Amino acid sequence: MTRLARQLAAVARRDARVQRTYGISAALGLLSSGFGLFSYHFVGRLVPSGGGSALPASGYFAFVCTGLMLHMMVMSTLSALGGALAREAAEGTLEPALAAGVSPAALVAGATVVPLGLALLQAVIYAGAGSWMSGIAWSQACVATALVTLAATLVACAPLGLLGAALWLVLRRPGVVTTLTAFAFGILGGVYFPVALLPAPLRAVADWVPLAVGLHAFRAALLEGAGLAQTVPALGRLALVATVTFPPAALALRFAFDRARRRGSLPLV
Amino acid sequence: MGAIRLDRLVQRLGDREVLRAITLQLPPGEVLGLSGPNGAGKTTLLRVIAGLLLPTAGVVRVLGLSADRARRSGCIGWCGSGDGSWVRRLDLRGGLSFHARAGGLGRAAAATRIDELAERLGFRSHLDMPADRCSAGIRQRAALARALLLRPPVLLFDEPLRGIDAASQTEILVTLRHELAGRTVIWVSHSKEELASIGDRSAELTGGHLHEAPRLWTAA
Repeated sequence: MTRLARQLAAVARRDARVQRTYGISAALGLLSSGFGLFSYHFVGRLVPSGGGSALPASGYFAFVCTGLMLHMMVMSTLSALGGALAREAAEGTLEPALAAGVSPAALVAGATVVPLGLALLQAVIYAGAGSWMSGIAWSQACVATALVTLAATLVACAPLGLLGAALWLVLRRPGVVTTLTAFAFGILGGVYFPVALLPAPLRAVADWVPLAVGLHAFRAALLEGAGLAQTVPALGRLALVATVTFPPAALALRFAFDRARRRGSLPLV
Repeated sequence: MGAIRLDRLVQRLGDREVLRAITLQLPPGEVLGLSGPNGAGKTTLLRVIAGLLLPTAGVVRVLGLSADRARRSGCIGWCGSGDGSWVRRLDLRGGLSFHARAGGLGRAAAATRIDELAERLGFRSHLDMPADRCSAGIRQRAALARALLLRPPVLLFDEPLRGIDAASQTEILVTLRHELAGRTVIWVSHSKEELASIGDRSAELTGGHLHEAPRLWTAA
């Protein structure tokens, strides 16, 4: 096991241990998340599906349910990435961890494990609730393709989280990038309505928004049983986005970390 | 070669020059007791050596490495004066275990070392309590244990006994003498008695300058 992987696993284990202390309240939070779908169930009754509506044949509720599943997992991960250093600083654990040789990369990446795990559980609850409320049939879903698409989408979105962490080190205000991303994803991500409804210029932008690209493949995998071969174009696009955006985001985090250490603004106890 | 070597170290924070051309050579296994008035730059000096701050000018070498490289290699143990450096909901064992496992100890070795240090530093009965239910003194003992966990060759202690009751301080100092043997240590304190009982050399930081006083304090 490399040093980074070992440190990342230690962060994840610690966070899981903290999460367990929330016990019943965490379980109730997970269960109650399924109830958020209720309103979309009723909205779905108002929205015609098929034909020229730009919605898949499975209808609006299935469309938004799958959209929310991926959106939730992506935003949990981004929020954890962007807020990891802020949380460590707030707890006072940043200084001892860094002094002991734990790398900022391990703190940032390790912080995503538990929130992503919880979001995955929530997605499963959404799937169950969707099936129970509206009879969404998951029988033809290709779960393997959906998981590969999820992983590719997370990797392609991760630079936004790294940028969030970097900006926090510079501005000391948490959530700047996450808030902007949530706003942009709400419009361009195709979570609540098909991107086909957007005006042409915005549609052209949405074609490169990782959530929109990933969501298209994710829905195809879960609602139409699309296999890996059918999602290759989307995966290729996500890989391209990740390849182009990851190095500058990682450099920005490195730069922000060193800048804070030079100025003495690294938030320490 | 010094285990810690500072050569004309300057640290500027904002408009203020906190450390001014500090030069220091600390041989392996030596304990330097460092004192100085509030705001003199003692904590800043430790942070630069720990690689938490990048120096404005000058050279910092720890075990022949740059401070940043030394930090990343895990050869520095750090104990700050703040006792709040624990995840509040997590028990002390969990917090210590995180550092032990991240530093490369296996599960069993980590558990053994944590139990051993908790016993020696007198907080074993509090190991499984969440940090926010422990007193400041207990958390500070655990912070000491955290610095010692991986037996790092260099230790940086910033008022490590703050918040610990006087009677226990004496016991802990006895324990620490055993743990510190062979390690290079900078120990910051306002207590001259404490520094006299633990340090081989002493120095005072005032106005950003380091004044060494090798024979200023001698253990009674």
